[in-house]
Amino acid sequence: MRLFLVALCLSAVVPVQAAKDLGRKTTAPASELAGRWEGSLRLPGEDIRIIVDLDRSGAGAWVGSITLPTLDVKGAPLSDIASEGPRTRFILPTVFGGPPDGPATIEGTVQSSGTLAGIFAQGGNRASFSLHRTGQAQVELPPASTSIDAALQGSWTGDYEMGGYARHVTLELSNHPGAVATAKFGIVGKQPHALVVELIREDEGLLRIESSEFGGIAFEGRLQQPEELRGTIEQGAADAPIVLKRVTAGAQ
Amino acid sequence: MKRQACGLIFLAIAAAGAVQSQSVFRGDNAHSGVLAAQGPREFHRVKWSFPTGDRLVSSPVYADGLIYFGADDGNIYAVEAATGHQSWKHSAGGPVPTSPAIADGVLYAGSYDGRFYALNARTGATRWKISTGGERRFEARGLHGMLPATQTIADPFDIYLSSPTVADGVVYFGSGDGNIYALDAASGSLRWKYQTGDVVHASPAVADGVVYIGSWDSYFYAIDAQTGKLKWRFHGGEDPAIHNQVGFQSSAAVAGGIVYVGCRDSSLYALDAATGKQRWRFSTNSSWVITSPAVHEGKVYFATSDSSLYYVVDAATGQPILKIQDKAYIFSSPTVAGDVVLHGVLNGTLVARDLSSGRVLWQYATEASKRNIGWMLTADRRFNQQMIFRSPWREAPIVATERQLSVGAIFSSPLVVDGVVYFGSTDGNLYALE
Repeated sequence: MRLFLVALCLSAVVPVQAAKDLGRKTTAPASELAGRWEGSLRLPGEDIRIIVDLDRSGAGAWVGSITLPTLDVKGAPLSDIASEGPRTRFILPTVFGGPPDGPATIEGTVQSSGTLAGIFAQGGNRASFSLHRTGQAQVELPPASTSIDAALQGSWTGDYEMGGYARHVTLELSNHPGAVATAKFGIVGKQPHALVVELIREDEGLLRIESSEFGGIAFEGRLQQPEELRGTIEQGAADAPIVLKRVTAGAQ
Repeated sequence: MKRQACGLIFLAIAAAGAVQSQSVFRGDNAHSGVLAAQGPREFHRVKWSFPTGDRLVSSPVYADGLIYFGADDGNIYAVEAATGHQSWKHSAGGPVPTSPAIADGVLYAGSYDGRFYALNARTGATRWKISTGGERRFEARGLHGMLPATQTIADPFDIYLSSPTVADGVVYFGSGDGNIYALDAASGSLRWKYQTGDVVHASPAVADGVVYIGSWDSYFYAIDAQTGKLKWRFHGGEDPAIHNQVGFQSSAAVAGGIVYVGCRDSSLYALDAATGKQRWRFSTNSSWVITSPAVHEGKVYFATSDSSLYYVVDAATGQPILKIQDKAYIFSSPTVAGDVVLHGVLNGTLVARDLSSGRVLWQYATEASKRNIGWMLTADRRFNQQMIFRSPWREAPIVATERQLSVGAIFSSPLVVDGVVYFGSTDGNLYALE
């Protein structure tokens, strides 16, 4: 956190207006950061409409989401939201993916005029933005993982075919006391891939496991028999049926 | 080993013999990609730029002091090489994303209007024109993963039309109607046509009485130039799921009895010119080879799209000699000009490389790429994919591709005449650099 504050202080590029406002020693309290902010990212030759929602969670931490209507983004999560006096900084962890082009960052200052202005950075490019508060925050929180039915725990395996290619799936599901379930999700095509699982949920008996790798891969299915999990593998807009069988001890 | 050495010598002789007058796509009828000119090893200035009314993906050709090219504004242009002044323009009925061929004072070029034109190269006056079955882009259901998957979608990367080749009084070209045409160069009358299974936008190489050309039906054809009879055909890869890894968009180079051709199935193939038998295949690991290879002194020069790699491989074996990472997709075919190789990049950069080492000698960035409207490029000039491709649904990927080209992308293959480099850009300009 200290490093972050130093980084904010040393931020090399501050828009002219923001710098002037900083020179006037703006004193907007951090609570003024909460709300819905709307305005534009000023890219070369193109302004992009941006809507940012920032609020405090019940536990007091900042939460936020962002909407970029022309970039096909609605309610994407913000992370690493930090606030120091009138200054704030946060990350768009999903909108522009990971390195080398992402994540995008926003650094801004709440000014005495009531605007939030600063720098949007992505892919090594930097552009100024200016937002105006338009109302109360309407933060969209991403779906959270849950625990799962005890009958789903264990190891599962099955096969599917997509685009003419056969693939083998391994799934290992575990509950943890006082915490959400975890999954190890593997797909073997030409090469084995251990997918990073971002979401595991069970809702009215429907199990859903999501990974953002390879453009988004998900398993969704229900327990049909004690030893059979029947559902689909989704990859982008394509899907394929799959039946996962429980791996019993000693079996592969 | 001795046989290989003999092969190399033969290739060198064949390539040297192929060097002609820069009046046809890739420099000669065998499409060697080797020009009888020395490319500049240093960049000094923009000699001139010539604005057209739309993007320019055509590769310019040269004859008798004039630079000839087509543009997407629907015109065929002749511009004075010395001054950049327009000599004449001829209005076709549609975009002309193709390189003209000049032979015996006549210019030959096709257009998206489905017509093929023969013009007086000095004045632009029409000698004759014929209609084909009509132009169209390659299309397929769910192309490249675009959605909905049940919708037939035209390929925005099917960017060129077939550039004609003239040999022994006959002009050869491919068409979106799926045919390979052979017309009498003097009258335009049909000598023969050969029907393939899909769009033909590659350009025919003609060598030893055989026409070599690939189709989007995933076959590469060798056809008797006189009779139009099939001598052999070679099957490239298929991609029934999303039709991404299929089709010959690259134009072949023929040297030393071998046909070298890139394919969208992520391969560069070396085929026996007499039999069509595969000599070797170089895999690019899922990246298209749209560029037409240049063949020079036993080496093949080509580049890839998504992986943005510049390659030099051994012509006899396909073994890699050089592999150099570039910044963005390369559709522009490498041109060998003395000890310099030149090629364009879709991020709006023209690159000049040392022939033997591949080292970048100099680069030129179009003004449009420096403006970088809407951040189509990252700060280090790679394509900013997340900013470009916003949705896979409906027309969004097509619109995205158009936006991508706003950086002055260079699809055009460079021409070198008297030390000056000529090429087109999607910013609508023909550039002359020295």
